[in-house]
This record gives sequence, C-alpha cells and structure tokens, in this order.
Amino acid sequence: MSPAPGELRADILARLLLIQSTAGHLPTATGVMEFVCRGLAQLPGVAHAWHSEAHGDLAGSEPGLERFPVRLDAHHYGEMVLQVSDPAQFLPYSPHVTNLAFMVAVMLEERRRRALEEVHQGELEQRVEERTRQLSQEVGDRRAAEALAVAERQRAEAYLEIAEAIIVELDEEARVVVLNKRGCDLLGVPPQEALGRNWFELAIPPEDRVAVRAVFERVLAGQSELPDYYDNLIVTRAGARRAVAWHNVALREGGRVVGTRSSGLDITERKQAELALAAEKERLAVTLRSIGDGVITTDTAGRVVEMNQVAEDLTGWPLQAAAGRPLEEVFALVDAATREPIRSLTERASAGEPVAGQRIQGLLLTRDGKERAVADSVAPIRDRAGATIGTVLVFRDISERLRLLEHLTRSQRLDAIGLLAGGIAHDFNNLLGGIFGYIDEARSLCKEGEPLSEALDRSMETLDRARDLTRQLLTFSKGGAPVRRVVDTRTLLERGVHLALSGSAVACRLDLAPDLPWVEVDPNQVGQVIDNLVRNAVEAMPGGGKVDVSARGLTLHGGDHLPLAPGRYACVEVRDSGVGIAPEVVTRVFDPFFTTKAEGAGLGLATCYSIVQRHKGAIEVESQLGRGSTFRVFLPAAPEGRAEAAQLAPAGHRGSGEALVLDDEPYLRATLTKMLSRLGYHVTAVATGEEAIEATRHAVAEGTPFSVAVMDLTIVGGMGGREAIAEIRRLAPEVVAIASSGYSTDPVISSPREFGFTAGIAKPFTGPELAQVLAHHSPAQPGSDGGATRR
Amino acid sequence: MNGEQISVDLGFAKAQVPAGTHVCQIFSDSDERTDALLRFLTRGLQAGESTACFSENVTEQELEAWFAKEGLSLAAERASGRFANSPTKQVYFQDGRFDPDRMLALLTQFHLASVAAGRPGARVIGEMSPEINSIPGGTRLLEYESRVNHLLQAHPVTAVCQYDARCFDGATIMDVLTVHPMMVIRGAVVLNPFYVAPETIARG
Repeated sequence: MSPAPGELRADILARLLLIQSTAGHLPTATGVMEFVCRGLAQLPGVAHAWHSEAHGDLAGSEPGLERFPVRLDAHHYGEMVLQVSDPAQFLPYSPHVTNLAFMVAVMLEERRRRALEEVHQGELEQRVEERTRQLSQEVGDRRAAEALAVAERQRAEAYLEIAEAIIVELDEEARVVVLNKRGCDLLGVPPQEALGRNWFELAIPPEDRVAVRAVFERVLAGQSELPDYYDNLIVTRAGARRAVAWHNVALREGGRVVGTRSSGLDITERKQAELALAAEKERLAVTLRSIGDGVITTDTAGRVVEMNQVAEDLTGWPLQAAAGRPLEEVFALVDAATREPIRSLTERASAGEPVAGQRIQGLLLTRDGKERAVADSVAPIRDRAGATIGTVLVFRDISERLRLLEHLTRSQRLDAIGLLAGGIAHDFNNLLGGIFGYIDEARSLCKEGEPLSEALDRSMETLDRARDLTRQLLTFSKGGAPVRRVVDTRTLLERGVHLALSGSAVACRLDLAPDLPWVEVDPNQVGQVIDNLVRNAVEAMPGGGKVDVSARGLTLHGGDHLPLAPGRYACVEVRDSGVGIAPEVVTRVFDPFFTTKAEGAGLGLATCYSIVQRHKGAIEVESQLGRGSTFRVFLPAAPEGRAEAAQLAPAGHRGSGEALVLDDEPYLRATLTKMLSRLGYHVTAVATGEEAIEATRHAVAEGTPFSVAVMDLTIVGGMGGREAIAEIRRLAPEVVAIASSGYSTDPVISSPREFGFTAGIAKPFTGPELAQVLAHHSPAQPGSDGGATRR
Repeated sequence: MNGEQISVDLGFAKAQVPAGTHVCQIFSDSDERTDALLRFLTRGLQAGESTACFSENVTEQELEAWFAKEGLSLAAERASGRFANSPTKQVYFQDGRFDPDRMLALLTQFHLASVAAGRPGARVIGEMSPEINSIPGGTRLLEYESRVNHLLQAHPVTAVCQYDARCFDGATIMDVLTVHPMMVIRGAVVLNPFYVAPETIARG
C-alpha cells in the first residue's frame, strides 16, 4: 500500500541514513557529492539531483528546484540541487535532506580540519626536527670551534718553531723579546743567549746599524709610510753576512707602541741569483745588439717585448713605440707575389704548430712604407719547467741575396739558351758573310743613283737586320766575350740613338754629361744595347712621346744595390713616358723569350742583359704602370791611359804591300780578296793553315813578307788560323794578323793577343769594318782618309 | 529447493543470514576488508561449506596464518576441494573481458559441485576490481549483480561482494548498492534500503 502524500516512509529515511553512513567511505568531496546526489535522486518526488559549486542564497529562485546548501559556519561546499517533480511527495523529506546536507558539510569540514591539522602537525614536526638538528649542529660546531682554537694555537706555536721565516720581537730598547728557532739557527746563537740582548749588537753589521736603527725608530714612531718590506744584512756569530727581507709592524698595548715584531726571510741566494740574472741580461742585451740579424721577442700573447737595433732599423719601429704592440703590426709580412698577409711563424708557434727549423720569406712592410725582402725563423722561449713563455723571431734582409740569386738564375738561363743558339747562328752567320761580300762587291760596281744600286742598298739593310738577329743569338753563345775597344761613349750613344730613332716620329732629348767617361766595350754589342733600349722606349709610346737619354760618370764604392765592383762607370739612362711595365712582370723583362709584345721575339732585353753582364756592367729597370719606364745601364769606364791612346787612334785606313787571306770557304776568300784589294793590298788567298804557312815562308824568302794576314780560325778537316799563327808569327813577327770567325764568342776574337794575333773580327763584316780594324792596328799610309783625331 | 530456510554465519557480522544471501560491503579501510574476508572464509570452512575467494588483496601468508589461527590448514582445505581461491582478474576478466553469463554459469557450477559433494552449503567472497570500468563487458556489471540475485534463489550460494570506495566514483558506489539486497554497515548486515529487486528492474 502506497503511503499518502506528506507521510514519511521508513525505508526512505533508512536510505537517507545509509547515504550519510556510507558517504564517509568515499575519499574525495567530489566522490561524496556524486554518491549523495545519486541517492537523493531516488527520493520520492525527486526527478534529478546534482551538486553545484554555487553557494548563494538562491533557494526557490527557480520553480521545481530545491537547493540544499552544504555549509558549516563560514565554510561552504556548494549545494545539492534537487529537481522536484512531485513536491507533495518530496515535502516530508525536505527537512531530512537539509539535515543530510548539514551532516555532509560536517563530514567535509571535519576532513578539511583534519587535513589542516595534519599539515600543521607535519610542519610542526618538521620545525621541531629542524630545530633539533640545528641545536645538535650548534653544539657540535661549538665543540669543533673550541677544538679548532686549541689546534690553531698549537699549530701557531709549532709554526713559530718550524717557520722558514725569522720571527723577532723587540722591546722599545731594541732588546730581543722573541726570536724563533729559525732566527737562532741563522745567527748561530742559542735562544737563551739571544733573549734580552740588543738586536743591533747581536745581529746587525756595524756599518749598517745606523740605517737599520733608523728604520726601527720609524716603526716605533708608528710611521705608516714605511715600505712593506725592507731588506738589510745581518751578521752571524761566525761572521758571515746574510741578506734578510723584513716585514715590520709595531706592537701596541693600550694604544701605545711598546716594541716591534718583524718577520724576515733569508734572501741571500735570491739576491745572488738576481745579480747573476742582471749580469745575464746585460750579456744577452750585448749579444742582441751585436747580432747582425733582426731579433724580436714576444710574450705568449704575441706582443712585442724586446727588439734589437737591427730589428728597429729594418722595421722602422723603435722599441719604445713597438713594445706591447701585436707582432703583426710591427713585423707586417706580405707575400711578394700576391701581397696577401703571411701568417707569421710566431702566430703559428703560439697556436701550437711545429715551426722549428722553418723559415718564411716575404716582404716586410716597414713603418715608413718601404718594403724589404726578409727571411725569418722563430723559436719558442721556454722557462726552466719547459713551459712556453714567448717566442723569439730572428730575421734578416735578403733583398741583396734575392737580387744576386735572380742575377745568377738569369745568367744560367742565358747560358743554356746561348749553347743552343750559338751553333745554329754560326752557320747562318757564315752564309750571311758570303752574301754580304757579294752584295758589297756588286754595290761597288754600280754607279750612284742606279736602280740596281738602290736595290742593293735595301738588300744590305735587310741583311743588316738578319745580321743583328744572328748577333743577338750569338751574344748568348758560350764564351761570347765582347771584342773590346776603347770607344767614346758619347759617340757611341749619339750614333746608336740616331740609328734607333731613324724613321720614328718620337722625339729624343740627349743629355750627356761632360764627365761621361770613355768605355772599353764591344761597340757592336753595346750599340745593340742602345738600339734595343731606344727601340723599346719608342714602342712603349704608341701614341708618340719623347725619349730621354742621359749619361754621366759615376763612381761606385761598393755596398750599392748593384752587383758591381767598386770603380768608375758610365751610367746611361733611357727613359720613356710610355705604358710602363706591370709590377708582377717587371723582374722578368730580362728573361729570354719573355715579351709583352705580340710580334716580339723576347730577345731584345735579354740580349741587353747578356751583353752588359759580359762587359762586367749592370742593367736595371724602374717602371710605373701608365707612367713609363727607365732603363739604366752601367758600363765600366776605360782605364785612363787606354782611353787617351784611343782618342789618338786613326779613324780610317789605306794600306799597301802584301796581304794573306786564309779561309776554306771559296766565296769568303774571294770577298776578302776584293776588300783588301780595294784597301790597297796585294792579296794571296789560301784555303788551309799549311798553305798559309808555306805562303808566308815563301813571301819572307822573296823579301816581301805579308804586312797583313786575315785568317779564319777554323778550317774543316785541316789546320786553321788558330794552329797556324804561331808558325806564321815566327816567320813574320811584324805581320798584323787579324783572326776572323763566325763564332763571335770565340775567345780568340775577344782576346786575340793571347793567341798570337794582333786583332780579331767577327763574321760577317763589311769592308769598312775591316778597314776600321786595320786602321787601329796598322801604321797609317799616305792617302788614308783618317788620321789622328782628338775629339 | 525445499523452501527450508537455512541460516549461515558470515563470520564478520553478529547476526546470521539466510543461505543464498547477496551482501555488499563498501569499505575504505584495508584492514576492514581483510578482516571480513578471512572471517567469512574460515567460518564457511568450519561449517563444512564449499568456500571460494576471488581477490588480489589477500596473500598466501595471510591465509595460512589466519587459517592456522582458526585451527585450519590451508593446504588441507585446498586438497579436500572445499577451498579455492584465485585473483579477481583471473576469474572475472578471463580472456580480457567481463562476461556475466560465464560468471553466472561458474556460480551455478560451484553450487552444484557443493551439493554433489554433500556439503551443507556454499559461499563465495569476491572483490570487484576498478578495472571493470575499462574492460570490455564492464558496463554489464550492474546487470550481472542483479542476475546474481535471481540465480541465488535457485542456487543458494552465500555471496559477499567487496567494493573499495577509494577506487570507484560515488555514482558507481550508489549504483552498486541498488543491486545488493543486504549490505554491511559498521559490522552489521542490514537490509539495503536502496536495493531494487531484479523483477522491478525488469519491469521498470
């Protein structure tokens, strides 16, 4: 039977009790609320029940909702909200639900407080534990501190006894109050003897007592400006003197100074070491000053510490300006070719790279903007323990060495090329000699102004160029010593420049100093040099311009940058204002086959170099790209006596009498015969040395000995002039014997007298050239076109 | 069934209950759980009943000690076939799923075997694992518990279901109450006012 509305059911009340009883098992507030609401939803007249966190006074604010706050005092746990579908059924249970809500609040509040108490209890326990530990620690610390103090006191007493330092306390009268074991040992007195004694009488040498007492008085006076350490000598009982460094303090009682306490260290050995070190430093400084190389030392950070005078001179940095600066700033090294900075050996050594035994070459950029070729080496400086404490850099100026090396290398290259060129050029030269002769003869048969004569003149000009080329090649030949004559440098230059500029639109200013000396040179070769240099200058100015040629006398004393012996020189400068030479190739312009011109053979300047070198001279170039070049040639001046004689030599030649021609080439025999005939000689021509000897013997026997003999040195398959001259000279001692050879480098041509000849002439040559040689060595004849001249 | 009401002593409650009673114990104290479990088992064995336990929360050592204290031998009881125990998951979640039909068949079999062995009764105590909420078939827990009530009418096995309130949410605990006719409150077995008979559920 269903109960009437408003009537309570026991089972429902039991449910409420059961909810209250069972909810306590659920551990969380959320779980409790879920459980309770789930149970309340099963009450009569209730459709749904839930928990809300809200705790405002909203009861009755919405129809059908009953709110039961879960609250105890000021603590709220939300509310239980019931959706009531049948208020009449629910109404009797409403107070019970209110009661349930209160009980739930009590339970939750109890839990909260219990949790709080647990926290508080935990905190309290933790504090008690912490404090207990602190107290325990404090007690332990205090005991440890007391033990420590005792130990410290004992230790201090022990230290006093075993201290390396001397400890001495003096009263106001300088009487010893305390002197430790070290002090007694050092002085050689027992403690009982030292105590109470006057310190100055006990320990200070008589000669130092006044000064040391003054210090004592100042300490007693409490003067604070005393140095921390003061050193003086003490004297031992045995009479030895020891140096001691003292630290002094005033002893006070109640603010009054009652004595002094001093600790002293025996620094006798250190003093001796300092003296030794100072001496060593002085020795090192003297050594550094006397070293011919630059020396720079750095610290481990690569900063300059020391440098000697040579290093100062080479870098341009005085030590006081360089000290402390990075080495790279003072010793700025760049690659000569790329101009890129070179990573120095010092930097590499500092980075731990092995550099021992290595050398670096480069260009040193000096402080004043100059460049020097240097080679440097570096070594670490180590202390006694082997730790690196810096580096030492040693370097020297190798500019001169590089120049000499370059000179040597170029000479070797020229020799190699000469060996190849000489053989070919010789044969070619012989052929040219024949052609020269025949054209020369043909031209002499023509009348002036004839078309044929002009053609022959042009042929000769062309042949001249061919001859020049072969001469250039022959210049390189082995043993190509110049055929020297003492000549007037002025004339040589005037002629050479005039010839080189003929047909050119370029102007020339010739500036020849009055002191320009004569030179003893091969005029042909030196003429070649002048020709090449002037032509080069002209070609360097395609748009026209002016060539400056100047010459002057110059005396070198050695030590110059040029590889020249001391003495008097003619210095010739050829200057143009042309395109100039790029810096990277300027050192190569004298190399054979090096050319910057499309049509050049690259032999011109190499030939100049070779010729000048063989004259024991020098050639150099200075050039700036876009501003022009200056070539400078140095030629040794002729000895004074020979120059004088040369100035009196005849300029032309007209001969007479018998002449001998020796040459195995029929066309050359014929040509020479014609030449000599034109000069006024009666000619006998032979093909071998044996025939020449026989002809000489015959002429002498006839009483018409040869006055002139032109002899080819080399005869294929037989005796040449070289072998025949001795016998011919024996038969006819007065004969003017001219050695001729296609090898202009043959030593007989350059030094004929050493081989029995009077003079030498290189093939090919013209009639006037032969006449000139004969003019120098034969007596003048009536009708000659020259005579003694003085310029 | 002969209709004769047989009372049994649960061991942990003062009053006796009819054989075949389905009791729920909600607890939040582990000692309360263990105490009820051990008392229930030993009292059953002392009565000669077939006794079974499905729980992870009692150890062999606890069983041995308690049995010995009660004058029983765990090994002997096992050997006689009167006592069997297994972990909850092994029995309830065999093959990784919860199958009410299999469990009901197991209960039936347990009772039939007891009768066949001539034992005066059969009792079982088991603790539900919270894994029921995530295991396949777990949503059929209330259905299972409800059908147990029906089964026990034919096969009066005295059954105690233990639920740890710390492991389940409040709503589940309340739902569990609705399917157990008796429950334990402060050591007393009382009628559960929230219980809803299976017939009512079926009708509902």
